[in-house]
Amino acid sequence: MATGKGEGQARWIALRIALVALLFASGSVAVAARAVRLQILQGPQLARHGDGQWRRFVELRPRRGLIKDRNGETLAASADAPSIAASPSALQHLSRGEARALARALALDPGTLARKAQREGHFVWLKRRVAPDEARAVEDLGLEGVGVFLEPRRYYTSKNLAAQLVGFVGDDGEGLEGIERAYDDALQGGSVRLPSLLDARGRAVLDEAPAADSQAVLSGATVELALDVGLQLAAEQALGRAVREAHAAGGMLVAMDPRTGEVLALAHAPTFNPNLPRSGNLLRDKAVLDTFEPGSTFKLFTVAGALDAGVLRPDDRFDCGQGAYPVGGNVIHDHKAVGWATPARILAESSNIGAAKIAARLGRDRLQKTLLAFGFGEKSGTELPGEPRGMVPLPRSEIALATMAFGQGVAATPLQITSAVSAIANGGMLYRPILVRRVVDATTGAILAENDPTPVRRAVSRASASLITQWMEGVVDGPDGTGRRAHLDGWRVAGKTGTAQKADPVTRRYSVDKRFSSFVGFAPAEAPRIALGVFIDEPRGDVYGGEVAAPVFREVAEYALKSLGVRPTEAEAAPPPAEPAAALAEAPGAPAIDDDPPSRSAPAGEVAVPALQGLPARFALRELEALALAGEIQGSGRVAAQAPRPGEVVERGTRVRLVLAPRR
Amino acid sequence: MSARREPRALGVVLRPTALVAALAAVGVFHVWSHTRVTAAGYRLGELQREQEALRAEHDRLEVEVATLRAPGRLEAFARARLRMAPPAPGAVVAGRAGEAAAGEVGGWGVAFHRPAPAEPVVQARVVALGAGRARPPAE
Repeated sequence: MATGKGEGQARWIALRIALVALLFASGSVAVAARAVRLQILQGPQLARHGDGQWRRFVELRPRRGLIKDRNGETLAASADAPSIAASPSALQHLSRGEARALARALALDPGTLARKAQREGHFVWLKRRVAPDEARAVEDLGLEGVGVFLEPRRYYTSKNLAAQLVGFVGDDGEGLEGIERAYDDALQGGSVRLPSLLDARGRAVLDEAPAADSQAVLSGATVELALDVGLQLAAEQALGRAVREAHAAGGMLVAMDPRTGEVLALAHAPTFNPNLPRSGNLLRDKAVLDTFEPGSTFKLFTVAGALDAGVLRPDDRFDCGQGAYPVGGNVIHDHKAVGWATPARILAESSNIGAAKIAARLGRDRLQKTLLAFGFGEKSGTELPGEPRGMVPLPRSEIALATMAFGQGVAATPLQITSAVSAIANGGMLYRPILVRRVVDATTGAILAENDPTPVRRAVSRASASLITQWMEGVVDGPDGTGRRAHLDGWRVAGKTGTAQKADPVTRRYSVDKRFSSFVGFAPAEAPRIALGVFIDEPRGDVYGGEVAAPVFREVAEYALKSLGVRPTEAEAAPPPAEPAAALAEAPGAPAIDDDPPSRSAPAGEVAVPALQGLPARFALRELEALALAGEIQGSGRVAAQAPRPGEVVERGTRVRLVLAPRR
Repeated sequence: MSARREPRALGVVLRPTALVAALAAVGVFHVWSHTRVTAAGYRLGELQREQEALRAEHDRLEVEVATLRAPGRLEAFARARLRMAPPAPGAVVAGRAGEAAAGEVGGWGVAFHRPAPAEPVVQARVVALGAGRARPPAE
């Protein structure tokens, strides 16, 4: 009996074990099936759903690049500035006292806040890029729904300095004018997005570290200008003083290295502070973008064309009469009677009649061709958008030819005029003006783009350029020169004055009192290192270029030559331009004695060593070759030192040793 | 007979136990590695924010330095606070003392002309043009 009961119990136990096992197995199967369904069948869809809930991208903001001068001094940089934003609904729920406190903290009108509260959407800027004090004041209020966000802000650390050239950015950081606009793509930098997850507290959890090159992507490039801030400051101060004293409408100054075309200063007066709200005509880079009738400075190019065409000799004499000369029903006037004059005297005393007669010999086709060769009538080739070509029409009448000879009836920018004068300074080669030296990667220092000196064409022969330089010295040092106020103690200066009549748009004739006065020149005359053009728009009172513009040239040129360490010319003052043995302004008709034209600074067979410092090796060798000098090079890069020194007179064929060093 | 059955009973228990323990260890390791990744993600986020803050501070200081070095500001400071003034025209002549400073360059036995910076002038800044930064006189 006990054995039968035991077997039954054992079977019952076994049955219960089997039932429990079956239960567990069913559960496991169910769980496995669910897992398969979620992980495999619905897996991608659920992953996307989850991503949408917690996947975020952390956006790293790009940093706009720096703008620097040639020596590494910063002109424009960016840093974060606080901006205040709020949700419109939060603004609506502020109490009156809170709204007033907020308006006071931001120096806003309460009405403005009220208007912003009515905006649709969830976000509105209250004030962007405020001072840190204002941001702190808003944070101290502790208002719900009002927050401080950091935004990049552009700072122009030298304020007014070179404002028209550097330009400025808009509210969203895009370049609007000047270099900021021309190099906007390079300066902008790129954004980087990092994938991340958002946790329950809203914190970002990064999936991966930023790529190794992310900083390079974020940082905008550094733009290095050819400008020198020291010279720019001196130029702006001198120009500003002259404009104020002359009660002029404005002024411009262009300073170039005639050997390379680099623009060392580009000054305007009046100027503006791009850090402050700005509008109006001051913002425009007039020296590059606006054209003017240049006036008598153009006589240089008329004479250059005539010399090269062989229709003009240094000892030719022209009857400039008593200051009035009829041409085709019109009358050309000189500012004073010059009588019989050589080309040297025509330039020195700026005779319009003399220039008109030279142009008549040259002819309209050759005059236009000469002016085009000097770069007028075509864009200078800078990066600034909207650069004009200027105007060099083919003269259709005698009077048009005559007036074009002295710079009326044509249009050119101050940069074009200074570039053309630089061509005379360097022996006849027109170079493309360089505003930006190079663009550099801010992170690695690698050069992304570089502007090397670029010769455009030969504008005038070396011999003619040399002769014109001598005559330009007479403008400054001659007894009746119009540019004597440009004289520099210690350096020989070559220059030319200009005082052009301005057209009156109302009467459509030339204005009786408005002038565009200028002085262009270079120094030292025997080995030019700096070419300057000074332009004063609508001076009042004393309007002549020799009175209002020449003193500015003197001041800025002196600063430049001292900064460059250019030794004063030790020789005595330059001899006056060679005149024929017959006296000047005597009885008309007597031909001049046939003298040979004087050479630039040295007897035949000898030549003055040019200034080569700062030039790339191949340009320096080309300069030496043109003067029949041999070059010997040590090192690589640009010329850092030379022997013999610039200006020294040596035999043709002499070996000139050049020490090169890499450009920093 | 019970003594012989014990080793067999132990084997029956130990093998499944070892299997379960191995599976559990894999599971724990899997979870642990995920938590480490998450912790690293938090740390990356913190470091990223730190880097941004340092970058912002660097930019701010860069702007401040550039503002302090602005030529107009330095000149105004030199005039107003240091009572300095530009030299009268002709008072300073570049080149005489600079000739000694330029010195010899290279070994060709000739004295080279290397334009030296202008003599220290009573002025806020002397900047050498065309040759990069102003060079100190040669020793």
